[in-house]
Amino acid sequence: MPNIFITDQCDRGCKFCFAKVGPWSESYPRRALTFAELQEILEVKSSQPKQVMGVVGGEPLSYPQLIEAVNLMREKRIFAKIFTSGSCALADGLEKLKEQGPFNFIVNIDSIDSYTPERRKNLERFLRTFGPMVSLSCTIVDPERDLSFLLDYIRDYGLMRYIRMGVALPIAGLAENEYIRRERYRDAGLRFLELAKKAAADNVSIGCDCGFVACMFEISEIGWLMHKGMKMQFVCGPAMDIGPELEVWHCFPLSRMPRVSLRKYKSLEEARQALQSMADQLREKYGPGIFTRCRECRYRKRGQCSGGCLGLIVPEQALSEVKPKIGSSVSQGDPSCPISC
Amino acid sequence: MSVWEMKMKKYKVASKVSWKEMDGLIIVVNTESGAYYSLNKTASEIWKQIAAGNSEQEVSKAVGEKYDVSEAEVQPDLESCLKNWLEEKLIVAPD
Amino acid sequence: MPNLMLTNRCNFNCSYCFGQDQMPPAVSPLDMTRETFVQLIDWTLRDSSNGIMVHLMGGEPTLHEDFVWMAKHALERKCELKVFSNLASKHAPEYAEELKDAPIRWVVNVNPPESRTKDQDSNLKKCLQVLGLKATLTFNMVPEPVAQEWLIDLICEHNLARDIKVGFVLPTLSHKNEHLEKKDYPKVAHRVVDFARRCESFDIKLTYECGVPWCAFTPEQMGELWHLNSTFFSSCNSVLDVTPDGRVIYCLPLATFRSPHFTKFQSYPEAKGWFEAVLMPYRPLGSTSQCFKCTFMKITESACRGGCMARVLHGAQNVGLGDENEKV
Repeated sequence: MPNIFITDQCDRGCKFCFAKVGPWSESYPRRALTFAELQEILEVKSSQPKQVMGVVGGEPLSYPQLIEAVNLMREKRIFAKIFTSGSCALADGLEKLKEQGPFNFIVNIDSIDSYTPERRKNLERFLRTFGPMVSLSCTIVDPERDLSFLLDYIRDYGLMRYIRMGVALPIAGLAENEYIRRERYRDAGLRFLELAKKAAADNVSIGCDCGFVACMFEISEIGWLMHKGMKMQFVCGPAMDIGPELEVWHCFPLSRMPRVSLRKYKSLEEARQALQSMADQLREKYGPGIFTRCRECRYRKRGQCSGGCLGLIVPEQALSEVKPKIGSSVSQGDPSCPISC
Repeated sequence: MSVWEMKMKKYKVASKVSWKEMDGLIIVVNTESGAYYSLNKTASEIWKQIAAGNSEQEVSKAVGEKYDVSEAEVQPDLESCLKNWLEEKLIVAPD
Repeated sequence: MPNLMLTNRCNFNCSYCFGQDQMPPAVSPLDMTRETFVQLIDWTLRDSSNGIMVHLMGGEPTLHEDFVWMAKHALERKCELKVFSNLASKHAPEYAEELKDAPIRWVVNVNPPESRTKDQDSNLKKCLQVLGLKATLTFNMVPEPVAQEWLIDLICEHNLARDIKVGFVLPTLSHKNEHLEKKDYPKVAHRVVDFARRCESFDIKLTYECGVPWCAFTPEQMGELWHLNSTFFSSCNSVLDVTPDGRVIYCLPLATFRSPHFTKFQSYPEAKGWFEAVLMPYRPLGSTSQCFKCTFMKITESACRGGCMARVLHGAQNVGLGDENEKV
């Protein structure tokens, strides 16, 4: 699912955020998408049978023309999944969005303990307003942390019965955000499993976002999770984050790898292949996986597991070494010039 | 309408309602609203009798015989089922 | 992306065939005309954002005298093509030779060798020899155990694609064909895992046909299948079939359920949406008595959905089968 990076504005400042230091540079300054750019993105052909696009940021709810954007996506028969904290003050008229469907929200509930009373109130108001249109997302930052509060939210506010779980991933080459170290991956798997068991009892399904690896779980655990309908996937591919000037980066952990220009490709699929080729080069040189054992791992060799996030193993200087192999135009970011948030 | 006439009433399953028996229990779906209902043993038996076109009196007699209880003991369950099912539009009252 | 049924005739007579309700002798033999075929390709291409995948099937599509013409027409219209065939008919080797370089994926339904005549066996093997990696085998698990190593032999001998699509023989709505009963699932699941173990040593993985409820497998079996790179996944989310006379059905097992003419719909996605809306209310009935209580089925519609819809609807009362004008 490609993501439209609609705005860089965010009032949260989550410690694990990997969007705060992106492909930004002097030649590619941070800003929000113009509406004209959004229209252009939505015109790009997708070969996917059912077009779904993420709307990410920053905080998309702060985008001034969000209602118009959702409307436009609806006209183009694109199903919008809007990623939000749900905890910023709702702009006037945002409730009108309910009438603009179909689309839904993915509310990232992290660091809830650090929420101010006002932020908590905002979140609760958001969930009350949009309830059945909301699914939750949560990033495992500290494997010790109990995640059952997510199920309480689903139950109390009638949310969609699915939770998207991620693991906190680093921005390749930088030590700017909090992320889970490899040594704690099994602990993260156990925390996922614990949540899955409670979720199954509550008719809730949970699924893995990228970054999970097969060896976070035992085979019997994978079997149990699959048997309960949990969406287990251990394969990494370009997230396709599309930003200003229709430039696309592979994903936020690899946001400092060269971008490709969507204006130079016939379709999203071609752009995806170009980004994948660069990730493949990095994986070949610095991987293949995040553990030494990945080299001999049957699951990796068979394509059942990618071997984890490249952000954990690729050094900063490597990011500018790669070039897309499919006919492309590349915009060079400036990985040596970090922008602080 | 006399009490006798009421007891001879034959309800009909609504046209948009489908049902299936599995392991002795009835699942009913309202294909128009999408609502579905799982009936307990007694209600399942009552439903089967109603769907077979039996009158109220015939239903309470058949269910009473099946569970070896009197018709009077079946009556409260039967009335409760009929009331609920009419409200949920799963059955229609006879003209 | 519809399944276009070029003909309802078949050169085989599989006892488990879930197309029986729509094939001779239940109905008259019927071939799709070129005109209807072209109209259907136009119809498919009307919503080209859907990806332009077309499946050609039957009965046995290579019995149709215009099979090659139709395949070439679809390719000329930039359709991605998949052909479902037993490749055992008289003309199959000649067609395979003619189309061997075309970008067509062949899904070859095979039964145990003793079920084929010498000529049929010879035709099949000639085709597989020509098609190689473009051919994927598909095979149906019947109630009684049968040897399966011959599948591995075929793949190795003819260098076919290293995956086998496994079906659990599904019932038609009438339940007249040979099919698996619920009680058969545990032993069949065991045979699937056993077969997956043998296939793994040849780098062959299993994939699965639709309509198998996930509770047919235990969690341990699911874990092992994943470990063997034969991850189990099955759902009831059919690619719609279009009969030779242009009627759209959800799938062959449900051929007698609803069958409106394709011209009733502006496009394939509209037809698909219509069928899903019509079937959705019945899904909670499930195909087993556990389905209704199953938390899993309620969770995600992309997974189990309660197994085969023909099983779900069988025995259900007051099912809306559409009016007479609609019937196949």
